[in-house]
Amino acid sequence: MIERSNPFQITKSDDFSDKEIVEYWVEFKGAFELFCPSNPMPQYILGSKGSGKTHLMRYYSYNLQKIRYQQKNKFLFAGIVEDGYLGVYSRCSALNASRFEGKGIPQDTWNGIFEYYMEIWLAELMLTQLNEVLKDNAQYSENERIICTEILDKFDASFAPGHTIADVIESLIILRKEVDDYVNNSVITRNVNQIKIRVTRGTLIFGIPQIFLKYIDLKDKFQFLFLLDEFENYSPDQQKYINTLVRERQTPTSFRIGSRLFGIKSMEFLGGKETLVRGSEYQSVVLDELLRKDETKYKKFALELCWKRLKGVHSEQDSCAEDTLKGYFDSSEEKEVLDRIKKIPSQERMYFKNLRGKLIKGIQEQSIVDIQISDIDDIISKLFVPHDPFLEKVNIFLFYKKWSTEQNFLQSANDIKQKYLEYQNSLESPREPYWDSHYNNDLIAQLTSDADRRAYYCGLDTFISMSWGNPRCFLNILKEIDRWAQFYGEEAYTQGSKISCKVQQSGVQDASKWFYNDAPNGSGEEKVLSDCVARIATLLRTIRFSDKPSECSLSSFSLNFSIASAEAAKIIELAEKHSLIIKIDRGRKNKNSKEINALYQINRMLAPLWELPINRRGTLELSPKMVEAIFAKNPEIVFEKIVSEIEEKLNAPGFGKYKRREATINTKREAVAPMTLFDQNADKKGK
Amino acid sequence: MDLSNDEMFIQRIKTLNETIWEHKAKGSAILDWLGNFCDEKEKSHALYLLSKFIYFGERQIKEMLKALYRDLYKYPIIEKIRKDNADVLDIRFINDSFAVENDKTRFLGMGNPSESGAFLLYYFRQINNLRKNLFVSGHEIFMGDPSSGSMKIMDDTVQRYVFIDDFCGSGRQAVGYAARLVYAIKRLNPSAKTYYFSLFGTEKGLNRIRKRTCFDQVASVSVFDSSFKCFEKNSRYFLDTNSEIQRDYAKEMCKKYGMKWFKDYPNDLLGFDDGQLLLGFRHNIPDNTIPIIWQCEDWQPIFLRYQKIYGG
Repeated sequence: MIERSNPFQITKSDDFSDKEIVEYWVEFKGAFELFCPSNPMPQYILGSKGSGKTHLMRYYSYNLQKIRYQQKNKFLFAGIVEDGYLGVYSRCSALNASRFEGKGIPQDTWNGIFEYYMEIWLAELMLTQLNEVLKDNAQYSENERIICTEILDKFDASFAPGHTIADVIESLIILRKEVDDYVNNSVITRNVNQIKIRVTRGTLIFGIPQIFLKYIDLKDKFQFLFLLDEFENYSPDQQKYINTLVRERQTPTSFRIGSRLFGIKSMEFLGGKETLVRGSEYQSVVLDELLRKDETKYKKFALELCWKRLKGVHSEQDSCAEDTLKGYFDSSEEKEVLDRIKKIPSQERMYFKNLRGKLIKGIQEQSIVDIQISDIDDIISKLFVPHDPFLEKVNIFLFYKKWSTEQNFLQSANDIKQKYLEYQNSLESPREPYWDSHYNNDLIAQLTSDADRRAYYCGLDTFISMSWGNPRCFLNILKEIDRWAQFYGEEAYTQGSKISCKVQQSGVQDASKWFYNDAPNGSGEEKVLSDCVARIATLLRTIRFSDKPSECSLSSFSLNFSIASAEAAKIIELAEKHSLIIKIDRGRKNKNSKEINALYQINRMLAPLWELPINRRGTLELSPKMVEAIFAKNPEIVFEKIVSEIEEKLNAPGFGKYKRREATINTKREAVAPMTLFDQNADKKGK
Repeated sequence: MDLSNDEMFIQRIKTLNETIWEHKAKGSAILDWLGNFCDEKEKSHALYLLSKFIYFGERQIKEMLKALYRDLYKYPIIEKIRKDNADVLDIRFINDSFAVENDKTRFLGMGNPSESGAFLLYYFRQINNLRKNLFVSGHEIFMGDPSSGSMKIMDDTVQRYVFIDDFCGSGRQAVGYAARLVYAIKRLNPSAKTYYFSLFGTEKGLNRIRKRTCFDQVASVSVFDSSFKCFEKNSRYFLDTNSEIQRDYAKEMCKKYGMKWFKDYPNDLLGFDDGQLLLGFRHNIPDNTIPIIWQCEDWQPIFLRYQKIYGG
């Protein structure tokens, strides 16, 4: 059988040809204007893996400019002039920069050689492009000889004759290969003394554009834009050199430097201990932050991305229709779960079985004294709503809440039943819920779990939301879903077809696992980061699936950095740089000290692994002990103990045991001092 | 974040399906197959067994055919050429001598021309770049009338007859075939050597052929020892299972369904001659494989076996 191709198979722009980069390009209104290639201010384009840095930088490169002109039947020169810039793209990994270190040779020697090599390499790239752009230009033919002379004059000593730019390029290649030869063999010779540095830093990079502008009528404010991608591959010294070029920049040359969030090793420049000044010497843009900021725009962007992949493969649509794309994904999972539960008599439903078990346990342990086992059926039956399992879950949730503060079980059940009946008989439209509806998602997640299913993450909106400003994450979710659709033989992206919830769930789980394994890579602390994230996620999950969750939609946590150990603080920062947790700008006010704590949300891509919500509402305020137990490399405080204490506190029948001491998990309604739970427990243990 | 057993098995099966199994066991087919089993526990065990199924697709079979020719046939001849000629290193001499030896060889498919041994010869010739005249069928070996006793070897320059098979399970089929053909060759041309080479073989089956036939050499590119028998004590399939997957339960389940088809053949309940294998090829599934995988009588198989119809 011939397998259909997966339209989302490629998720890395490195794997795209130049033509495909143009084909799959989607404009992000407002955000990419910041990139503005004719803007002379150098920019550092930062972003997590898959945020689109390379796609963006390649899109503005000369090769792609050329394709766009061809598509519009424009002449090359006219197109470049109209664009107002020439994009000279180079990957920092292309030079194998690690060659320029070690081997018993002093680092300052290597630094000098690396700077010289970069000068030649970038000049060669730029001249090759210019020679192609200007080949039919009359001014160029007229002035080529003098341009060559002026370029060769930039060298410290004459090294080769040249009357054409092709000759100059040829000479640069010879120089570059000469350096390559000595550098590559230095592993044997242990010296690079024969290399003669023939040009001063910046002379060609800034000088050549000036010469061309002098003799060729390009345009006012025309810019030679060096697009240096994968900056993280450079050593701190090599980054310093690039920073120096940024600082010493001369018109009409400018830079766009692409790097991962954790890839900037130095913002210093040569000849000083200062760092570049943001705002005046450069701008920086965090790409995924930018994409995250405006959810409406990001959603539009993601839908367009999806449609571009489907265009011509499966979809019959000519334009990106949101409803059509959304319609390809089934969303009946919630109804299916409720229908499944409805088939079971109320008293047999899992949540009632659990409640019964907990009441019996409480009576047996004598933490419940005002009812007998024979009262249980009567109490539970008051909470029944056989035709609506969700409302039964609501009733149980309210019952547990009351249980945690008072022990009047029969009265509590009667009150809840009364509220339910008032709601049921209400003539209002829509009816005012008798519970805090912010908990709806959590209650549905618990119901799903009661039905022996995982919390569901279905529908295109959910996938967009999960990817949270990272296009690769979004495409990866769709890629994994398509793999499962093919495995189950489901038709996808054709008129009337719907990808089942089961397939969506499996794909989302795989994409989550991929993210969990991939995101910490390159940190040097992969295992530590994975473990820390697992710990915080486990804690959030424990609360979400408890009888009386202290917060609704809990996917975030806050902490006071000033009282965290240096080690824990470092790991938190690393987790943030690797996008495992996302910092929420405004922070969160500590309920006691009123200081602003740092606020983080666990990356939404990870939510399915722990069945956490992807939206954020409640916040878990971490005590210093919790911070250490979760984020220290080798936590002395046993994390499992913290989890079991929280479990005991938030679940029946033990609420009462700790009810006067609860503190660490603050709720909106309960302002209590942080840390005390564990501190008091510690005291208690000591006594 | 822990996956359930079934989720893990399905994950593994999906990966195998996408990579090795040539998309032969899709999710919908798996669901149909699981429909054969009566409850969730059985389904879990069935999924587990399927996740351990070993499948050889076209690419793997071609590579094995290459290895068979190179390792079992060509290299030993070259070794002998060199040994007989003072460890000669002259590549031209070695190649010329090998070509001479090759001309004295005939390759045959094991069994009837419609069976898999013969089917493989086409690929074998292609992949090893061999001439067509080196391949014969059983009847092309002899000439004359067997009933008059005047039968003799058609080409008495042939010194090697290499019988090629895809799989040696119990070895019974090869023993039966050798009784008819290989004895006749040896009788009419005592100096000729006969070889039985298979791509895959069980230790037990290969030993049976060695003991009960007059093949000069019996060998297989890949040999399955008893650890490949699914429910043996040293089975490789139950080394690291968790408490929910039990070898005895799985065995009884397979036996229970085996009774549906082989109640009169107790030794075949877990595959022909108690094969207990979890093995299949692109072109067919051996009957030594556990029947719940391939049976199609009142059963939805996950990998289809093309049964041989004997008779006539």
